[in-house]
Amino acid sequence: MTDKPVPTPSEDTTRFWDACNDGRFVVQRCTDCGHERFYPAAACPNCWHTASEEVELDGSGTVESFTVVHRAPTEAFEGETPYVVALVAMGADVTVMANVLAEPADVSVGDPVELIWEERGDQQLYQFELAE
Amino acid sequence: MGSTQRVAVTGIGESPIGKTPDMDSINLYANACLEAVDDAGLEKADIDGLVTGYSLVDPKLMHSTVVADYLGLNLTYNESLRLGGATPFVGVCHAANAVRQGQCENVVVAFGDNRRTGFSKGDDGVSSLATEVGHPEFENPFGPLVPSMYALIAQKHMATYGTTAEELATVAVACREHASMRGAGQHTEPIDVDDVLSSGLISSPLHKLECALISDCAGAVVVSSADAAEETRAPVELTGYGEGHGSEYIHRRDDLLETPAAASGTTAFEMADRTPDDVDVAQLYDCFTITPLLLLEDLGFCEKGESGSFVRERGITIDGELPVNTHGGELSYAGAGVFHILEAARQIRGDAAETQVDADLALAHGVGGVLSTNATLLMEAW
Repeated sequence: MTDKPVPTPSEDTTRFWDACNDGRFVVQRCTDCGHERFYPAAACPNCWHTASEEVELDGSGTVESFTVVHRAPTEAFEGETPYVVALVAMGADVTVMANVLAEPADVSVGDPVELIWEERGDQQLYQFELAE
Repeated sequence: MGSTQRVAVTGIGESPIGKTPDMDSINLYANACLEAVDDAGLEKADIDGLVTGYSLVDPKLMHSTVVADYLGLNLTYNESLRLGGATPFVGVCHAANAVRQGQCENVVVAFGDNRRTGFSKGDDGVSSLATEVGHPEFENPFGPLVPSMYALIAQKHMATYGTTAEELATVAVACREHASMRGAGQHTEPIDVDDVLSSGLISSPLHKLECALISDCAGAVVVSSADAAEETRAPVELTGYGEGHGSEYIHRRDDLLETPAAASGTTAFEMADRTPDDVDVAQLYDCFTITPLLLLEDLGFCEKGESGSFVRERGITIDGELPVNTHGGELSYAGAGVFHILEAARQIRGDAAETQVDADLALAHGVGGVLSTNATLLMEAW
């Protein structure tokens, strides 16, 4: 049984993953056009301005779409099926992929969700659960 | 010179398909290239351009040059392209541009791989493909399959427009009906909607029979200048082509239901001075059943959100309003989009046998990534 993949931070993303380990989900807000970008990158994908400020998102989101995976992509996920992979909108500009840790039948497009943390190796990984 | 010069698809060829354990990736490429050049009525010395894709099984730094070396070709145009399933479609666009600029006369565009049998034991290709498509840091840790990426789009389409599982399944049934009529391809036994919906969920809402086949196969086409085409056996005019390229990763999409097919289609139709209403037969990339639905919308065959009712009421079999994937597509014929291009040419030539349509204008559309990169081709009689 192999372990589920742990993200390997790059020069662009180390700051983000370090913040996750402090329990904070942060994105870069462009100091020129105000676009909030995710994933972390050296330039704004909206205007190419390179300066940014760090902002912490509050962890609330909405299920933009989801799928229930019935066949594991790799051995590491075989014990997990069926599980929910979702696209979660966390703000006007930021959508992330993550698992919604819930009964698959309870998940619908448009559901409000809340960020929770999963310990994956030495890395805190952002995940979601259905909001109360 | 310039974009007014006519350009032709002059030859089509394909390797054996399915499981070909005695042929590796380069064998398959070479086989399809030889078939296409022979089909055109051309010879080795006539070929001065080559565009190839890549191989996941046997990666090469300079893939097209390796194929050229294998075939002993001397070229004035040489390109290795790596745009997923859109590769041969974009390859035809680039070949047409090169021909129109006078850089070459006859370009072979080839794409294939031995993904069915070429991977090591225990890997049927699915795992290798899965890690090729998702973002390594921001998607793959959450365990998506390649089908999951398209399933996210399908689920959104269902939630937004009320598209049903039955309508999605109808795409797979239509492709199978065509493969069955032709009696060619990897899967020819007829299926119905219930068969699709009971084939087991892979990544909801997509079932096993809604996912493209994984095949050993290669296909090739020859793209020729107007002068060179006059010397060939059965040229077909490439009257329009266009490309559209968007985001690679699905979590970066501004709108899950908008694709770059709108841009590639608009460019192709404007070049050909045609409209979607003029299209008699469409070969639409069908990696999953949701893909042709979005393409029907974004290429202008129906309004946004109406593709489900289009396949149900207006019809995409050869008896329907717009026959789609008359060879069986990736869902039934073989798991590579290059055969969509071959089939468009066959329809214009009148060589499509049991699924021949009365076709003046044929469309072929390819998709790479997660509806990330798109190309549209339009073909008419020479």
